[in-house]
Amino acid sequence: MKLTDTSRREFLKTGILGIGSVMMLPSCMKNYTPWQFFTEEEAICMAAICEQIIPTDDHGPGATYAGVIFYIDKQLDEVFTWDRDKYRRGIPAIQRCAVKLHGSKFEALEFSTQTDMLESMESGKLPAEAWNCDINQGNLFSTMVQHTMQGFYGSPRHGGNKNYISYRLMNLDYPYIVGQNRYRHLKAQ
Amino acid sequence: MNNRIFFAITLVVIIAIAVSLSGYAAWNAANPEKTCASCHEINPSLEMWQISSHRDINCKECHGTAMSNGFHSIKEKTGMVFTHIREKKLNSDIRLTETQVIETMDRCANCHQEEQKKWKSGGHAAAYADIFLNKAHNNMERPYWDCFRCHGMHYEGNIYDLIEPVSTRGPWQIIDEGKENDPVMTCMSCHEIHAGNDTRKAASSLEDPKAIFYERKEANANRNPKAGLYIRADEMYLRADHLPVPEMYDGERKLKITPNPLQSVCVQCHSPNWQHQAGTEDDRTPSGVHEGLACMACHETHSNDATNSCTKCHPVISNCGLDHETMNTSYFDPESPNNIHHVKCTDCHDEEDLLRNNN
Repeated sequence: MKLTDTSRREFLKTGILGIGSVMMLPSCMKNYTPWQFFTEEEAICMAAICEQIIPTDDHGPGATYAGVIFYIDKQLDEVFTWDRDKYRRGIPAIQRCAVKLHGSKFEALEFSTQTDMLESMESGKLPAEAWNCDINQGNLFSTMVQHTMQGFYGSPRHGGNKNYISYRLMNLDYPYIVGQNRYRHLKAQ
Repeated sequence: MNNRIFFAITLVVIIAIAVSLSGYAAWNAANPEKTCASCHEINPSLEMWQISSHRDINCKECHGTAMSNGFHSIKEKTGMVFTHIREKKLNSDIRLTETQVIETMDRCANCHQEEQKKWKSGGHAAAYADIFLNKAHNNMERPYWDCFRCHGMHYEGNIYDLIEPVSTRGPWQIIDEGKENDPVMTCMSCHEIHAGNDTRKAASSLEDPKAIFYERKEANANRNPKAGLYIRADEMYLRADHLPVPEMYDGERKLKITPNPLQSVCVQCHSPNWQHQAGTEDDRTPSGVHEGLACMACHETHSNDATNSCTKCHPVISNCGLDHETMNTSYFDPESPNNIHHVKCTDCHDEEDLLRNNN
């Protein structure tokens, strides 16, 4: 479209939009963070929990490679608004328990220690004084498992399953390889 | 008006224009980290570009500038900012529109002239009118949404937005006439431009030609495939070597399939029936004497040209005394019953004679 093809109304509209946009640009020039919902600290802890749920093993990469944390982050921001509070208050509770029981943050613990901690959390046995919030431990754990599974096995368009890794691990033909059937019509004629 | 005021206003206007133009020029020449990626939503795209083989090419070379397409570009780019604020668009939601894909594709030719010419000379340069107004096809099968899986991967709409009537009875027409000549298979259908890859380097030494071969061989082994597939359903790319390699069959016999990952891209659109029988539907997987060959062994990747493909493997001065180009196959004669993709020794020779000679 050339300027000469543009109506006066169109020109004015775009001009106003342009000036308005330029004025809004400084609000976009903030420091980049890949997280939409999580803070950096929450994301690191949550990524470690996801890797516990689907670890990298002999069968292939786990939740970290698949970018499950990005799925959970995106969904909490855009869709699962009802679960936000659980994560926001639950992750610090997990960290408090990790520090109280083992002296360091969850993500810094040995893999087997992390497993033990999550097993305790699943059965609601993390120390109540350290947990210190009204989020149900077992319920939070099962939500985390559910979301991790979704992020690992769901479509990558929702933020996880990077490079369709779980589909490949399952030898799933995806994208589905099947041709059209018009030649069958031709052969029938 | 007083002359002095008039000159003062003119001077101010000239200075304002000069400052704006030089600012604009400086903005376009600057490092994208300081310009395009200062919008946080562009950052992930920038990070991908920084590890791609196109990392030495500035954003504007492919995406244009705010004024490279005149008023249209200004409107588009200011609209992006408004959409971002009003609809809370995130980086993962940002896609080029089909118009932008086609505009960007035209700029690919600034460097890849040869590839573009080859592409234009082949079947993959088909336009919307060629595919969606094809009477023979439409009479046989109603156009439907899945056509876009391979034809019009970046089309923003459904089949009802594109043509009418959506039935086996024509006459058909493309609703937006401007789309008729747009390509349905663009560079970006098979290439993810921001995909991570190394750039090619000059040989470290020219002293020993043999060493150049091995150096290049090692470098190529570490490079990612150049192709990937744009998956319309998910609006994302999958690198060729991450695509599934289908198990293919000739009857009940499982065929040997080339490990060349590029073939996995071809088979996504040149696909077999659900039983994965070679040669069914749109599939061209070689069986018979050519079993195990990759599409690219005979077809040039951009033009799909297969002229002279025989001589790539069968010497012109044939070792066995046969001229493969004039044998009774579909390479020589389109009416030949011996399809070059599936021709077997026994299509021309008596099986018992062959066995006897082998023994």
